[in-house]
Amino acid sequence: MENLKKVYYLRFSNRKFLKTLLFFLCINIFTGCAKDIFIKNARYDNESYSMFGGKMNRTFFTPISVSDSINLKWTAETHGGIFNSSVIFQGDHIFVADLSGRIYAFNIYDGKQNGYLNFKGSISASPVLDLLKLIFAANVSKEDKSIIHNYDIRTGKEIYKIEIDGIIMNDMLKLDNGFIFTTEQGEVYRYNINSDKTWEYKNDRYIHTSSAANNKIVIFADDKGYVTGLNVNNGNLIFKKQFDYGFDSGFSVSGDTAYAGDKFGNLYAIDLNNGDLFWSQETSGGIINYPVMDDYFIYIGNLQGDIYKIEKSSGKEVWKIKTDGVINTTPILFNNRLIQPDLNNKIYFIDINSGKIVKTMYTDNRPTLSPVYYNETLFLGTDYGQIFAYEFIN
Amino acid sequence: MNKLKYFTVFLLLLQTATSAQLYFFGRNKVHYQDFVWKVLKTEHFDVYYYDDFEEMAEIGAKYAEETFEEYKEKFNYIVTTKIPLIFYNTDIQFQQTNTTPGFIPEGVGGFFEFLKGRVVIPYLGSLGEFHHVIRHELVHVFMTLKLLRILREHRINTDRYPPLWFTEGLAEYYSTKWDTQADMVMRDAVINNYVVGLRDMYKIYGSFLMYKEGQNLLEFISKKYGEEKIYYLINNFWQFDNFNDLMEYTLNKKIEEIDKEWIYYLKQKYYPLIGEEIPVDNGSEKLTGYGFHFSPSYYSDRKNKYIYFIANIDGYSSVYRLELKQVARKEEKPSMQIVIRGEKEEVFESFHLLEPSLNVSPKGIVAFVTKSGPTDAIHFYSIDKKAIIRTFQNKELISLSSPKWSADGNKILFQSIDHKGYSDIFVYDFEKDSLIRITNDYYSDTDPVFGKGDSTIIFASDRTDGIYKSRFNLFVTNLNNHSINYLTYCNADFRCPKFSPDFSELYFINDYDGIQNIWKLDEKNNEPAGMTQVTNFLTSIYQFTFTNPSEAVISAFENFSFQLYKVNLKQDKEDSLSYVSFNFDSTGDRWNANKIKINPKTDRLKYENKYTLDFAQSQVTTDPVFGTYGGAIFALSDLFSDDNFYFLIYNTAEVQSDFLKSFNVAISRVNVKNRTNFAYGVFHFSGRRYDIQDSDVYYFERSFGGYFTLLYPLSKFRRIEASVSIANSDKEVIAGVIERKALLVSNSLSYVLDNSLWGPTGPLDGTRLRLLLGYTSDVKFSNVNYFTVIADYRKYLRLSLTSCLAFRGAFFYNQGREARRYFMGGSWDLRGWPRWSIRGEKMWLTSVELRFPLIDYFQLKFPFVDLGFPYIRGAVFFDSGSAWDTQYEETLGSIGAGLRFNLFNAITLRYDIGKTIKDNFTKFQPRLFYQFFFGWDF
Repeated sequence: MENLKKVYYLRFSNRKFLKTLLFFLCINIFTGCAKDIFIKNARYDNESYSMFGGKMNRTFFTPISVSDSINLKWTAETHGGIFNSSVIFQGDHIFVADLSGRIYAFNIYDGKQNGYLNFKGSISASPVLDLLKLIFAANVSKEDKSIIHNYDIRTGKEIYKIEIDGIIMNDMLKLDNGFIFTTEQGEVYRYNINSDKTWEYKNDRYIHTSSAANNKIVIFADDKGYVTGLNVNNGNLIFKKQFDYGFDSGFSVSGDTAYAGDKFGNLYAIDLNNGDLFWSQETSGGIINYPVMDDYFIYIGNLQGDIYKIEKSSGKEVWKIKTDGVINTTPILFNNRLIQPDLNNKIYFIDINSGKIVKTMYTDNRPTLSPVYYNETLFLGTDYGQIFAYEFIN
Repeated sequence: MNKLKYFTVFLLLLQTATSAQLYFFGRNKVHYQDFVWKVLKTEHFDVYYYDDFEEMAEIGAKYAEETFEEYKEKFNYIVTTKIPLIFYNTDIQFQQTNTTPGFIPEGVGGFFEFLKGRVVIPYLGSLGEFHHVIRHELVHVFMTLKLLRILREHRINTDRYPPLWFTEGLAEYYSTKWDTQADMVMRDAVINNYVVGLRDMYKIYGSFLMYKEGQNLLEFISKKYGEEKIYYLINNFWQFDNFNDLMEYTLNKKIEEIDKEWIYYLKQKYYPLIGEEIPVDNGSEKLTGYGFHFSPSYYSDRKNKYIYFIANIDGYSSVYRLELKQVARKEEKPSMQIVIRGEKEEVFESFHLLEPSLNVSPKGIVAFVTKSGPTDAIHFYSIDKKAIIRTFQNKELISLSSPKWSADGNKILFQSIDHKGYSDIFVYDFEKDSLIRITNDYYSDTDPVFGKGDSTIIFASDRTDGIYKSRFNLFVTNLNNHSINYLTYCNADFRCPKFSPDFSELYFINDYDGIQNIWKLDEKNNEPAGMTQVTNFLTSIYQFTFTNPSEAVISAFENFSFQLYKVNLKQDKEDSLSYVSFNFDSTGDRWNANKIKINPKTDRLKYENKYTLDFAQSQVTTDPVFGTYGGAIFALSDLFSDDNFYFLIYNTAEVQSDFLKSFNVAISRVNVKNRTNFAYGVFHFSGRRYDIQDSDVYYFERSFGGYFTLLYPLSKFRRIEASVSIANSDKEVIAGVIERKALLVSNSLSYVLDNSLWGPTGPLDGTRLRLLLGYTSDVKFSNVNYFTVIADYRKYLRLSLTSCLAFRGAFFYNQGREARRYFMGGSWDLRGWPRWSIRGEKMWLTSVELRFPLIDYFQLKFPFVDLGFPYIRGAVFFDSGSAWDTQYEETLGSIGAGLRFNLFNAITLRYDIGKTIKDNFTKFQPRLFYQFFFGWDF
């Protein structure tokens, strides 16, 4: 009799357990599914910050003065990490891609997620926005190819996708009608917004720099130290000059001069018309982030943790700050402050005139998101996809 | 390739021997010292050290901080938590560490342990080597943590890791320059055609060749494809599961092409050397066969000429003797006699093969160095008396090497590392039994030899300053005024200075031409002026001894082995050999090592135990019959893993009402900090049991109690164990019908001996023994009361390098009330009989087994994958035994043959065929038995 009781009890208990398990599995499946990005109120005339660096010259300069006091508004989190790239904006929404192959939309006021898209592989470069079209490159894992997606954020539908041979790690450059990108293996492409390839240029060497451009010339460099200028409109080669060392840093452009640093810490000012060197300035360590600049000065950090202010016209060092960290993330420049992430779990607020660190913000994880200022909000980010929105307190 | 095979066999023997642990048998990791740890807190490291090692720890901390600054840029990564850096002041004390559970073989320079992120490094007597090892291990730290982060950021499983050739090759590539030793290994591999290609690297897994091939391959990639490709092999790691795919992607070439290019690069580099330099085997007469042979020392009595040396031919390092006259007759194979059998007793616990460790005096006293307990010792063996006549050991001198007699045989020089980590020169007066220290600083002084007239000492030292800073040049110190002066000055590392037998010329080894050859000193006006090359071999000479003024016996590396060769030192014309002059004008002052600057009040602290989690695992299972079970296990330990806590909790309730009483909990503490190890704990176990030692029924048992165990290692090979446990046991064999309550107290005392040497599937040499006496009684109800005797003896007689005859004799005896039953049957003991089918309170078992190699490597090549099966071994066996309770019943046996196969060095699969013998050995079973199981040979 006791045995019978036991069997009954076991059967009952197992059925109940299985039901509970099934219930939770269903909940998990439904809630775990991606909710597509679908922004009904997106408008063409909304303000936007449409690519990494804001504009195609990528100066990372915001001409306002800011205070050193900031107040956390909200935090958000992506599934994977965001490494040395950043966020873009359209109207009330922030868009960010992560290394686990997801692209998210968050509300800029409260950080609430407004859907995400999920792809196999990884998205290394920041997406770009052309009005309401979100364009981004997903690298296919275990394969030597990427897919460029063009996605309408208002309808929530993909417009097209293009398969590209090679991996896209470098940031895309948004033009007036189209976009330029490079693959790691050395191909340079320009596509127009309707997915037609405008031109293609084959560089024989691997490229780990992100390009920049003025209206006429797009410039990039490769692992072997070749700096190349192409006609933005037709992709024709304008110049190719070899420098001493390979490049990993992004390019910034001011007028007809392009600025970039090499793997051995030399910062170069290069004539965008012919690739000639205006000047070079040695720093203490490899440069992999973008130089940022205002009208007269360039600010550059390196992997040895040193940050420099350099005269734009002459390359002369104005000041230098030594930190105990690693500077590999592009900072943001204001009229009075340089806000510089340091991989050593810190963010510095630097007085650009005196070269003093006026405030050090300690973070729980490594800051890897290039800071962006949009809609009176400062966006910062750290390892493992943590995004923070701050407001300045005057 | 033959030598490589033997070398691999040796490695495997050593590896398996060192993985033996404290189970039924096993060797002991003896903690001779009670280390009182101190902490040095720097910006990125917590540096742990003990004793008087403070100065070296400060230098090491400086090296570590400088390296950190370099690597943060190289890896584009920063470690944001403090890295524990643990320094031991010699490799002898390093071998006592608990930060890794296994034994650490000789020659391990350090390791990075991922669980607690610890970097553990011994000081090996040279600041240059210390610097190298710190840099090497920090590459592992940066690479591992960076990869972990990359994988996590991409949300990819973190169980992926690059192949060992890459991780070790990278650590060498970033931490050091391509040096003489690396070049020696690679040029030998290329010339003798045993370079292992990229796709077959697994065949030399973990070997020194793999380290150097990995380093060389990365050098090649850097030269051919660019330095940045090394970085991108790490940075792109997330992209591919397979490392070869990653390489193909990053270098944009097929693996086959990369392999082909690399091999071609090696041939281009090394083949031309054949025209310029002579392979050792061609330019000399080989005296020895396979194995490793070092420290040759010549001795002649009135009748014969001998070479005494240290060798490892059969897995144990020993002192050997070779008669030179015998070798002169080429048709005869040289024979060697063992003079002192090493590594089987604690007094000769281990030899330091690669160090100069033996020298014979003119009076016929062989001085040789072994590890002996807590420190090294110099043993003095009289050739006449054929006995050890004295042993020199000093507790302040931990590591010893380079013994060298004076011309009169009354004094002996040697090098030693003390508690400070100083590697200095000492003189021991054999007649007066007194010791004098000659040098006392952090420069590495080694290979001393008495100068002419014994008033000066010549030695090699890295105290070289100027343009050749830190190279090991030769120095001379005057014993009267203690001045130290340069004897040589050039861009080379000098070793092994030796005067010719007539004391007219000083010879030495150095690597001036890129490989270690013999050179001799040239003097002008009685002052050193330069050096002339004497030998021009393709691979390195390690040590040498003169047999006459024009002839020497050398220990040299060729074809991946270290052999003794007889070489004529006058055969090359002087004008064809290199001459190098010394320019002493650029020597400069002595160099000083930089030390970390710290605040002694806040940054130099005494270590206090901090416990962190080692592992935690929980599991919930649901079974259609037994319901849901759940449990967890986790372990905590301190930074040095000296003090360990283990927690186990699970529940075996089958019905709700049993839930509370079905909790099983065990908490144990195991402390292995000191020589006496102890463990204690408490437990509560409750649930249905099937105890194979009792009758074949399930029963319910609830027991709770505690235990205490002591373990005292007498040496590496012998120990005493004692344990006491108390347990309250309630058994319900049939609920309400057959029950048994007992308060059991068990005591046992054991003696364990194990000096066995293991092959791929089990022991091949040595002895193992366990004697146990025990007594178990029910102190409350007197339901249980019995005593126990166990004697288990195993002897392995080596027949050849890889074969042996193994014997086992075991006797198990329990006598008393409710005595436990032993059991046997099956592949582990009485083969052919059903597993564990023979049971009794008394039991005996004997086995004889012939173990031999069958197939060294068996490979199946499929179009898509190659499958390799190394070390398939054979056995022929005969077993007999019996088990009974009160009345002896019958003797059983079995006879047969089997195959053993080592799978990944983790498990041995066994397949036996034979016949059982029953009815008191009167009847074979009619058919054959076939038995497949796993387990090591007995």
